[in-house]
Amino acid sequence: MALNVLVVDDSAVMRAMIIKTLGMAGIPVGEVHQAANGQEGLDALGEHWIDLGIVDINMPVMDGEEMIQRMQADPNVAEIPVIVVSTEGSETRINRLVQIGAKFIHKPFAPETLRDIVAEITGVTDNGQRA
Amino acid sequence: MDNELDEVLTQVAEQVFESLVFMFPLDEEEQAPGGREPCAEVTVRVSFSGPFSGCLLVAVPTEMLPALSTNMLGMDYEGPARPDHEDDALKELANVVCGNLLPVIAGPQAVFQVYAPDFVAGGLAAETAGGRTPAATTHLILNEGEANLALFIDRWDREARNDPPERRWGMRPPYSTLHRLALSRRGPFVTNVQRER
Repeated sequence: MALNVLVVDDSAVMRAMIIKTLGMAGIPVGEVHQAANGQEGLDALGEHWIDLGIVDINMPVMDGEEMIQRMQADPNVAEIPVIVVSTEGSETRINRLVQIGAKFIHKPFAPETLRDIVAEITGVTDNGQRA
Repeated sequence: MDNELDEVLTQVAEQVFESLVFMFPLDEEEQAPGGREPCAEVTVRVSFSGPFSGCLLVAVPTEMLPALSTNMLGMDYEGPARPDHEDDALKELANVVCGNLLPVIAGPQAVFQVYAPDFVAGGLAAETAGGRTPAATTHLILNEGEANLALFIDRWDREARNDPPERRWGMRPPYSTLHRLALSRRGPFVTNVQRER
């Protein structure tokens, strides 16, 4: 099973790095969609079938926390698993995100960390099988 | 090191350079005698607000930019070559240093708003021209060039003035040591503290 992934980060190089890391980690990826802020991310969710969202926190226009909260309020996309990849260091803020169901990965991160969290949150392992 | 904040900035910066862009500080015997020739630099600023506000500046030689993006993406990156990746790599590097630095200083509970990085014309010199003094600085000598980082702290949240420093900054020991050292630095930040007392 290949995952359709939405990567939301205002840094183009970080989006490219995350997409490359998904491949390096052996995660079977189908379509990859990119967005530079939370609003663009929500727009992409309305236009494409997404299996997994990878979202930054600090972004212009709409930050990742607000984007995830809006996803939670929309029954069409509320069930999509979300991984937050951010430099955020505040336990207060990280706990808020975890409480609404997101997984958190701190930048900088190792490919194995992303692979393990993707497997945990989607059930899809690096050989494309459901765990 | 002048103070512990310099040391903290150095440690965080070295860790991020190593893990994000695979650039490692040179040992003393590996460094070029007499230092490197002066070269054009590019400087990025990351501003933040929260229990205290300010900005982090990161300056690197212009010639280091291609290595930053190449190392971040990997030599085998096969995606489209984009000129904005080089600028973006330095911005992301500064963003990651700032994001990792603030909780070390303010404690894990403190919540900061970190703003999008931007380029600074005139570099570090322009930032200090008005008498603004950094709370911490560091100078990393890497194989790919030298990087200068400066942390500026302008003020802390006035709404929390009645709280003791540890509570106001969300600090726990050993962060209170850093807090004390930060207060001992000159500049507008210290002025605010003295007024409060």
